[in-house]
Amino acid sequence: MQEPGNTGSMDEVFLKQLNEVVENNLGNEHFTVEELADSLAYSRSQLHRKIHKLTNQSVSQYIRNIRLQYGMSFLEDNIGTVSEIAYKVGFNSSTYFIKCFSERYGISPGEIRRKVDSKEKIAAPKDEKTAFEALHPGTSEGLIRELYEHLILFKPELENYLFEDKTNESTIDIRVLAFQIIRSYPWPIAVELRRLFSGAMKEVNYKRLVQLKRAIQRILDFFTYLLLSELIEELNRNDLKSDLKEACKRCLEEINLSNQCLLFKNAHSLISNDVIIRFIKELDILFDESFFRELDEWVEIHSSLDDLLIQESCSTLEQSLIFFIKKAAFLSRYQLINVSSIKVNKLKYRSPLFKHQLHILNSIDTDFKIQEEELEQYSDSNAVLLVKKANEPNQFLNLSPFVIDTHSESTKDIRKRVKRDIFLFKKFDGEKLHYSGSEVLTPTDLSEMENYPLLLDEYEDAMNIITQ
Amino acid sequence: MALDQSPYKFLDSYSAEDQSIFFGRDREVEEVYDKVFQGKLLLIYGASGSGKSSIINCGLANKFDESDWFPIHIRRGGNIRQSLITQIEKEAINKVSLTDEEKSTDKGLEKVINSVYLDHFKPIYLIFDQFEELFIFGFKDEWKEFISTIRFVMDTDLDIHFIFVIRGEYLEFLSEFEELIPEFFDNRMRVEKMTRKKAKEIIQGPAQAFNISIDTGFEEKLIKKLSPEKSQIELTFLQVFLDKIYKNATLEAQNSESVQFTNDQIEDLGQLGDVLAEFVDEQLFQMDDPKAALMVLKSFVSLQGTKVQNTVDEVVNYCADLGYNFTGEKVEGIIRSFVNKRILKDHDDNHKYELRHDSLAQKIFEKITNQERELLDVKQFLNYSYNEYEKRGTLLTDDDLSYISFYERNLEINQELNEFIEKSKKHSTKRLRSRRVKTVIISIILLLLVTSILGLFNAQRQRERAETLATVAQEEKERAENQKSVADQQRALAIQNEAKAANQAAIARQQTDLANQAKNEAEKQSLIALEQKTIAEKEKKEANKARESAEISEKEAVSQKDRAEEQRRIALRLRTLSLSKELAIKSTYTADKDLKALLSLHALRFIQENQGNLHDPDLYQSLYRARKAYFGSENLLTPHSSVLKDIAVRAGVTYTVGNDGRLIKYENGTPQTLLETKYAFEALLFLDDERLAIGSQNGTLLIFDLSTEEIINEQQIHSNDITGMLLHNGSLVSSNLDGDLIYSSPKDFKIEKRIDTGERINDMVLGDDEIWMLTGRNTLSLVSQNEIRKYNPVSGASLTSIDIDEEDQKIVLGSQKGDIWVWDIANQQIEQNLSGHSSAISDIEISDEFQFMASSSLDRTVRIWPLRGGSNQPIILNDLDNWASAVCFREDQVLTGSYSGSLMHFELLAVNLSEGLCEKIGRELTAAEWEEYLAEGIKMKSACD
Repeated sequence: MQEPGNTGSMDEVFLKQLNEVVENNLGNEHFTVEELADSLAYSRSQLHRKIHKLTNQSVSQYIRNIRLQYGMSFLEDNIGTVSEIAYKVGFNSSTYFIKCFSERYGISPGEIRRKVDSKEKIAAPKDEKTAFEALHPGTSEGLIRELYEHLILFKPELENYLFEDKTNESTIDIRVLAFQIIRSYPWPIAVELRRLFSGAMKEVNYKRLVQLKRAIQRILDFFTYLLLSELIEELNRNDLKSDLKEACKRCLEEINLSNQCLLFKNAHSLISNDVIIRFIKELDILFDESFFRELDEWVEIHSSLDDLLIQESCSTLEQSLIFFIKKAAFLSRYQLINVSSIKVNKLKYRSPLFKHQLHILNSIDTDFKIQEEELEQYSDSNAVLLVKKANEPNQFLNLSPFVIDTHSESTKDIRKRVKRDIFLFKKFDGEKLHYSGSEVLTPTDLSEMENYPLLLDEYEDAMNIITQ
Repeated sequence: MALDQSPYKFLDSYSAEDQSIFFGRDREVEEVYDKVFQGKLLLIYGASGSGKSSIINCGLANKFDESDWFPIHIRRGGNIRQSLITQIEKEAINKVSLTDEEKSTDKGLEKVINSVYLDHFKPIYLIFDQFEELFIFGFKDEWKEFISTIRFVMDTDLDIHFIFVIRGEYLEFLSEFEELIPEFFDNRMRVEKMTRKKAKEIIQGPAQAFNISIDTGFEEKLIKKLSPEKSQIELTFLQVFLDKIYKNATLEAQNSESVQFTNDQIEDLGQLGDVLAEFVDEQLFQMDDPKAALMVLKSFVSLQGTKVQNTVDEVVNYCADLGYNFTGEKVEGIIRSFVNKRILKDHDDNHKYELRHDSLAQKIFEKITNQERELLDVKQFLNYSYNEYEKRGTLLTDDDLSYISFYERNLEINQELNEFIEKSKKHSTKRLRSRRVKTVIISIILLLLVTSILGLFNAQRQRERAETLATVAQEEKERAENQKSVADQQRALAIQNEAKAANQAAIARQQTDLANQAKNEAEKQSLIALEQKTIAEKEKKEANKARESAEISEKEAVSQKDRAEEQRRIALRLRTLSLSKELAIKSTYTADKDLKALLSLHALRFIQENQGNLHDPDLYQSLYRARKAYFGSENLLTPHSSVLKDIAVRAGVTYTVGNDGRLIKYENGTPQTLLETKYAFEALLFLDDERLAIGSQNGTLLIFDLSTEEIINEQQIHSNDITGMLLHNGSLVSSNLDGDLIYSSPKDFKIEKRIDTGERINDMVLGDDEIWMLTGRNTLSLVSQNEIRKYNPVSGASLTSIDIDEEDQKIVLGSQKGDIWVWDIANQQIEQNLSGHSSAISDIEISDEFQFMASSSLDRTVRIWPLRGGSNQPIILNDLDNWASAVCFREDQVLTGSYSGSLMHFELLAVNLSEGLCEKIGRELTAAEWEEYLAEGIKMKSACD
């Protein structure tokens, strides 16, 4: 049904195949870009580059437009209600279908139905950019929608934002969807997404390229901290293969792409046995084949970035980023918190209660809110934890000494005050631990931190566990 | 780089684009970058010209990546909250449509900010530069509304930061914010003026960036010439010089490859005086109509000497207020010339122009005459009152009318204002007349009636009783006398009968029986007469008794009459005193200065003759104003260029310190600067007759020797502003904003003891052997030996100042809202609330003899409260030129300091105000005036006898 311009016969064949695969999966709302790429035996990036070249659209836009075209044709043929047609063409919400349809054709499905009944002529689809795309040319509305739809799979309550006002079909604010995406991720990832969505990155230029790269790197770093924390927990209980221990050790020495790849690959073979990962069960979904395929591609792109043109590089990096953001979507089920202190309250004849002073680190607001929880169990203190629920911090994965929150530092001496931020572990040079900030861009030395000696102890403990 | 583009900023502050020429501020920029991450709110303060704006707009802005920094600059404009909304709305890409209800609420503002955030996805930094404008031009309602808006926005989830940039001397006003935003002061930074070392970087850095070569020693020479003694440099002066040198150097370099700064160029500049004042004069001199040009420039300066934003129309109105009617075209022409001469900045989006720098405002401010200042002050007040009238229908009060009455003739006011004043006057006269007439007449009549009626009635009753008794006694006496004469007649008859009986013996014998019978009868009659006589004597005695009693009654009646007479005299005295009060009020309202003085002197005389209250507030006010009419502002000195912070008196000599870093001595009314430093002074204390301790804002303590006039010790022992000092058991005790109480040796500042109270210390005072402090918002803390006991005397109030009445063992507390509370130490209870001030109390002082208490306030008044006996009506000193910052007693005078740096002295006793008045008045009250102003029946007297 797609009508490409002056493309060669090979491309026509490709597009025909492409349309067939999409049409075959028309009613499958979970049909993803990865599945499409697999069906056509392309890598995700290759598929993106090809479709972008032929149609000037992203893969997800292309899929959506085919779905909408079918939607239009079903409406014209009057073969069901608007809701029925929405589900038929792979939308899991009729409101969202109405919204996308209206934006694509400049007319609502209800209007089409009315015009069909009165046999009026229907205008051709509009092809100009949406308001959001005009403001954020580098960040297309399609990209936001694609990420948002994927995120709903992990956090169904996000769907509410697609039903914002049923009386008015055009009230879904794409900016709000972007905002919700950002705040669904832990702060160190969220801040990079925010920067990417900001107007400052709207031009496709070197700045955007650096930001895309930084965002991907941050996500991979975060995966590394999760994996390391899980593995060290496991090593504390049971011994593991020496290859894996070596990979952990290298990451503890320095977080870089080659050490990370080594760790991911070594962990992968063991994770599938479902023995090692005790807390973040989604890690086994994370490290699937597509992940390693994309990772390999990323290693390749990473090393050849300097040789590529900016526009081409940005386009490639965007695809990688979308892949990794989607892979990290499971994090929206967790919350990142910092437990700064725990006080014990014990009354006569009663069990002790543990008052946890904690900061939620998922907020997009930099002034992280303090919350107090009084529980019968206790978590680790002075630590950044990944928890399932903020009010149940006793079930957690402790990310210390890899992720550090300095907002609760109380040093009075201004000369010794470290900047308030969330810091991520980079390396140990034999003497000092090195971290990079997520908001404060200048490198910061954390050795003035009150808890720095504890961090060093934790680091040494982790190293001892791995090397014992 | 192009030669026509100067590497020096002249009077402008640096913006983000000036990164390549911004030097000497690395440490401050690093500190501010650190602090913006410490909380949602950051407060930057420092002296004018210390470079606060440049540190934010250039230094801080360049620390951020473009995606992490979205600054929105807000100036007060007409109303700060409105300006906030307007500036945010300007940044919106997706316009937000708000309902009318949303527009007026903070909820609507939240919606707009949220939308702007979603448009940009960057943390928003709301930068309130020149924040002091809110306190200079705004009114309390505006502050309150803004504070609650800030609180609201802070409590939302928006990624928004506030940066407030304010001149140090206005910091105190921010305490208003604390009630709703207790964390307002938690994250703050003081920007100090530039040191000599850093000033060198300012010269070298941009020169290097512009490839300008510099002669050896050029920097030192320029700095030395610019500021031969001070350790700190006036940044604006330096910039103006550098700009001038650069221009000269580019002219010289026209034929050569590069520009060069030479030592000769410094020599060519000649003697460097007050460069800005010279610059302004020079520019004015070059204008076609310098007088009109000066008037236009004056309109860009506030009454506090800070800059003001104006449109052309506003300038036209300003000039008209001062009696100059310029056309809009003329004013616009002058403004354009000033823009070209780099004195004014070009207009902003709201068509408002302003001076390039506050330091220029200060120079122009010096050219505004006292009369113009007063007129503008009154005009500003009138406009505000008229707005209030339009909003709420409130007319001018009697005090307001009395305030404007002096200036009315010279004021250029429009019809609306004129009608407003007339209406207020009518209302006031009507009210006053009816009230006064009613009260005076009723009270006098009642008093007289009651006393006279009672007295007369009593006397009458007694007299009547006495008269009745006397009449009864007289009647009894007459009756007794009648009976006596009857008895006498009967006795005579009896004797006649006896003689007749003897003569007729013979017959008698015959008639013996008859005679015996007659004799018996006569004896019987005689006995009866005797009996009658006894009765008469008895009755006579009774009549005498009655007479005596009548005499006593008569005496009593006379005494009652005397008492009634005394009552009448008291009534007359009260009436005279009431008349004297009326005279005092009439005097205050009278424009004729002779009449004003005569009435006030008569009021004083009546009060003296009738033992009235010599501290009567109306009497004081009338004498003060009469005196001012002749002697002008004889009690005003403006020795400091910034807030006068503390006053101390020793052996009748006064010393003051101020935020301008000066210590000033006053002998015979002449100020003499003893010390000039880089510090902003906060507190002053005599250690003994020779040595003074001075505390400063950055925590440095200095000891100054008065005999040698030298600093003998100087040390930074506090990390923050020193808020108070006192001597306790030989130790110098000082407190600071961080809550530290430090005991140190006054000799070498060796720290003997440090107590961390955990909350900021606002003020303190020494009791018997303990220290009372105000800590946090409203805690009264008692430090006794090593123990701190805390009280919460007034819940909800924010306490600002403290003093102790050692005689009565009471603590006096001043509050943010202007209330004064008297707290009994023994009962630990509030005993009295002295209300009257309408704004924060800045200082409280009790006189040495515990007779008076003086309170200074930001409502521009000082009140003197009598502490012992009599009325508790305070004398209100409302002739202050600015917000009162400090108060102190000196013999029979009260001294007060203000935010403009002035020192005023006021007589404590009304009678002293009359001195010298008589010599000035050339006349006495005329008979007609006497009749008009004084009641009938009071003998004419001279006012000055």
